[in-house]
Amino acid sequence: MTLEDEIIQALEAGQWLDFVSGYNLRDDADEASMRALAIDLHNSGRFDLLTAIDGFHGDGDSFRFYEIQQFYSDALAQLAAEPEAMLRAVRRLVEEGGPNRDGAFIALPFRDWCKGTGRATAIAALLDFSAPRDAWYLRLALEGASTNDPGGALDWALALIANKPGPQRIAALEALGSLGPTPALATYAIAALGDQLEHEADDQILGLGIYAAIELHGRGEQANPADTAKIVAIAATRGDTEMRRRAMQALWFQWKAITPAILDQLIGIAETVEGSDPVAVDHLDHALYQMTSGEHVERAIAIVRTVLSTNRGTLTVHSFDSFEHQLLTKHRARFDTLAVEWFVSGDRALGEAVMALVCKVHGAPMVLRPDLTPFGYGPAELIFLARKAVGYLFTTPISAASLLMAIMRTGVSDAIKGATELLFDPLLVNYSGELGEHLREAAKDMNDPASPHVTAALQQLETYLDGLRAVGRVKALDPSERERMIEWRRRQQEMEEAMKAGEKESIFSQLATKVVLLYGNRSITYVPPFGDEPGPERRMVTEMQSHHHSHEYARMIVVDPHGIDLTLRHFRVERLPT
Amino acid sequence: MRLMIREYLASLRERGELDAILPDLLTEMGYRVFSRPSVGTRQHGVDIGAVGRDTDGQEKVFLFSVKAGNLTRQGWNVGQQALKPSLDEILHVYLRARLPVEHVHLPVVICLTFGGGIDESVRSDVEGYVDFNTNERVSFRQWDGDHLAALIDDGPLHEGLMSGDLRGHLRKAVAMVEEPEVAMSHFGQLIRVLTEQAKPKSTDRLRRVRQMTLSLWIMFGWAREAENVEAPYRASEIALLHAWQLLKQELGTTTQAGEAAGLAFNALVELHHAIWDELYAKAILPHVDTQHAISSAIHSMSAVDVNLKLFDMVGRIALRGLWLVWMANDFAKAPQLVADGEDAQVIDELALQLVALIRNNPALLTPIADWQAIEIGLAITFLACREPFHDAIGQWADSLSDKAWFAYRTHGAYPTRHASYWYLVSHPASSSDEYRQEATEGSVLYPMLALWAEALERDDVLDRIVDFKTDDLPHCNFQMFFLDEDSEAQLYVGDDRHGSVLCDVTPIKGDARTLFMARRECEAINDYYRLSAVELGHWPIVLTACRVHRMPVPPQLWLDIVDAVAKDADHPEPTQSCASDRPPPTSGPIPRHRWRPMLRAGTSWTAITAAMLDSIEAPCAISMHIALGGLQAD
Repeated sequence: MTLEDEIIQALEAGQWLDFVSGYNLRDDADEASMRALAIDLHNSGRFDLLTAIDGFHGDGDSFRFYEIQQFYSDALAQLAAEPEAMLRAVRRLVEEGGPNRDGAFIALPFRDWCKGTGRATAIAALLDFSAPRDAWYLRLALEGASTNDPGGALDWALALIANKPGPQRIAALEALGSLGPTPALATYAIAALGDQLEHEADDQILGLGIYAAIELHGRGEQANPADTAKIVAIAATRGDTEMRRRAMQALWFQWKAITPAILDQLIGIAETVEGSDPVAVDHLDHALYQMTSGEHVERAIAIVRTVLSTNRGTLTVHSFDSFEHQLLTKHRARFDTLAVEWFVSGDRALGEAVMALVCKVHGAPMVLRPDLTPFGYGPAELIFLARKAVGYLFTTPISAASLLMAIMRTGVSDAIKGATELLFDPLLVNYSGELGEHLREAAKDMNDPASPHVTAALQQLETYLDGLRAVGRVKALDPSERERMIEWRRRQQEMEEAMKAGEKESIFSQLATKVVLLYGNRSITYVPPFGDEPGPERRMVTEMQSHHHSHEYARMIVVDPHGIDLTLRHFRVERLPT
Repeated sequence: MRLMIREYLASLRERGELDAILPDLLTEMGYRVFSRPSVGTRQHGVDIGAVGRDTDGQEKVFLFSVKAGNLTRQGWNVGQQALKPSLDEILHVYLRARLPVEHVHLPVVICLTFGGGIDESVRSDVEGYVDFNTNERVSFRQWDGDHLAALIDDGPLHEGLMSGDLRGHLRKAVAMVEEPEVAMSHFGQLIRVLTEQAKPKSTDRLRRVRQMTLSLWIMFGWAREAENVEAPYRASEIALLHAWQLLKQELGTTTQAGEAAGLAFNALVELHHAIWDELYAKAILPHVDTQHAISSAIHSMSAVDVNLKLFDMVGRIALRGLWLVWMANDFAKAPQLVADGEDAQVIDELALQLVALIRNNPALLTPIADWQAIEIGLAITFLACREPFHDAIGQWADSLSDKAWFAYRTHGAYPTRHASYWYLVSHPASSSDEYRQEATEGSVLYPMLALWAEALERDDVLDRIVDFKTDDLPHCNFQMFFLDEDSEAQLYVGDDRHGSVLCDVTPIKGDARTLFMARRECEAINDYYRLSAVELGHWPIVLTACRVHRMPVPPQLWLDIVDAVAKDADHPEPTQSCASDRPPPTSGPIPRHRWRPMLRAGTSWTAITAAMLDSIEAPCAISMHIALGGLQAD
């Protein structure tokens, strides 16, 4: 039996969708040939591939759904069909795709189908705009129509914007950014849009408008910058959340293509993004990522600085995870100086951002080596920097110490004295272990101007530790057995809760199955053969591996928790004397 | 039991230890002790002298020369402190010229007394010496550890005098001495039963106090060997209070029973201070000038443990200092300002160490529980007795109030009214306002700080407390505790269910309102002066009871000092009159004959010496600064 015969047999038997969903599992599967044969049979009028969709019920079978989806995605645009039949079939596919399995896959094939003469308008005439998705079909129809008649599609869209408030206007605005494929048409579209938005105050319309204007301007080789700027200014003045989201989306997609003046306008909007709006923040993060991937690092940093400053409490630098990844990988040296700038700014949001970025780096502690000479700071600024470094980077003492060492290299004697004192107390006093080891190594570099000062701090540490050791063991000061048990139990509970919370968020808990071993050092399980594969069960031995993490507890957390809390708070909030 | 006593005896040191228990032991055996160990006077080889009936039924003089541990060749005849020179002195000096004239006609038994055994290397030398010097009048007897253990076991701790259960408690307390809570549960039971079963006869009560002292000595000896004297320290405080309860009827009388009671009580006070010395004078105080040294010596990863231990330490050190003040005060009924002089020097040394402890261990600026006001109150009482330390009190009150307010506002570890360890290790368990309010519904700490701020004219501290109360603690009942009519019955061996609490203490800016309220209440409650410990001029016992039973220092103990401070500074008296119809209470010294038998109590020379080990010049105290100096804003 030929493939064509098989297709015909399946169509005749009403088993077409079963045939499609199982076809690619065959050893002799040739999807392209099968699709071409089926399209020919449909277009010749012998069979109706669209009607077959009426019986599409995935019943939760993802594989079946995606196989059928794939076939129609590739075939739809080539099928000859009446608009009613096509619209019914598309609606069924979208409906079957549903909220869980995105039905939007059919958008591009449907848009391409709408390229055909008269199809788009015919589809538009069939739409019921009270239905939830029909505005979306209108947008696709407009975009499809634009392929062969860009001018006509543009006029159609502008007419809808002008005369059809509600879903049709919104659909047209959503489509508008994709229309006007030439600079001339883009210029015309932007001008017309500007007129429409002249007195607009609706946030959603302004959002769609600014997005469409930036798209047209960017894709149209910076078309009509004057009217674009006017639209951006109107939107920025009157728009709200939706406008900012769309503006950030436009910035993300078009930041490279727009004029510097309009980029400045968008950055102005970016700086008003609210930390409580994750959608806008996410779009902005994508834009920042692209900026830091190119030569616009400083612009991206400036935006982040402003946004963080104005959104302390609702936004952290981790909200811009793509940006921070770029900063810490591609611009690592710039981060060293950035930490200095942001600390010296005295802005708490920026200090917290540096702290978050330093803490984000796992593994070896981050050592900062900024050259402070170009900053030209005097003793007051340097000591201020030192206190900020300690205040914010206390829990990453090696990073904090590296900034103090940078200050020691400046040769400013008062600042060196202050940095050395802070290196001893609170850093070394609290972290005599790991930090002590790190600094002993660092002090060996006699070419480093910081070395003698580090050595002095280490000597102070030894004196301090000698004082502690001199007391020796005083058993009478031990907490009682009962108190030890209570405290142990409390810590145990804390750790269990932390582990449970960690497990919930861990990617491993989603990838792997948890199995509890009560004894032994390895697990043995028997695995049945895969699928229909014959043979006995396979014996699987999994060796247990240990995993541990150690963390040095700051001495003052036990000895003087209140004092160290107060000191660090003080360091963080104090301002540079003016 | 006997082996335990034997080991304990072997661990004792001569001065103040082995020779301290012997007189009580001899008294219990029916001997009349006519000479006791003393410091600073020549004894001509005799540590203890007693008259008693010997095994042959004849009355004889027994002269004891006491050496610690085993008798070795060095202990026998090397140096002035060796036994042989002491025996020579007895033979050549004491028997010729120092034996009380009423006993010269009696045969003499010289007892070679040592806690351990006799080394074989020196045995023949000793036997030869004894043979050579034995005559019709003078004979020799060897009282080694085995003999003494048998005497104790068959004497004061005999089954007939101390039941098997109580002996069991003592054995368990000694065995568990490294777990102070367990040891204390057994020793506390021992002490309680001894007190509860006491008969009205003064001799029975006296015997029970001696049994307490001996039991405490045994426990202390073992604890010292185990290098953990926490249990005996706590036991000594309990024993002191129970002994006071048992002996208070006799103490202060001039009868023979009164004198015996005074000596027995004195022995217990001495022992209490010896234990204090072992822990604080030797292990802690030499390191108080080192930053964080004492905090770090507390082996715990919990800041709460460090906090609790440090404040406990402050209370104990302050109480020791208050015994010194008591000595210097000529046994007044309440603490008085101590004038400059020899007594003041000793007090200043300890006060300097206390201030250094606070300065170098910053957890002492941040109490986690309101009841730590007890320790703070003891320390303030102690420091207030010396004018040069008043500035330090002000500084401390400043830091305490400042940091408590900061902690409160930041939901940090502010002082909570709760006391259980379970609660404290998790405090603050929540950052909610509801939790915070519940945790601060009452306070004795803040009114006490306000009172001292008023007394020392620290308006800044007073203003802060008033603001704190107004802004954040309107729900908090500021209160003061007063000893009252039912306190005498409960104070020493009862619980904390006695006394009165003055509610709604309301400090006012620019006014001595807290002082006024305290003074008015002190005039209304005269019963403080009827407490036996106060009547007999032993107010440190009141403070010990406050510390042990967790009650705040009552303001009744402060008024004399506050008055003296006001007078010294030429401060006007609080403006508001608190006149009442009752006659003003008398807080002056008690008649001297009432306290004479107790004179020796509290003279722990080891403590005084140790307190001077780490000498700092007294003038330093005047400019003492215990705030966190490094944290000043730019």
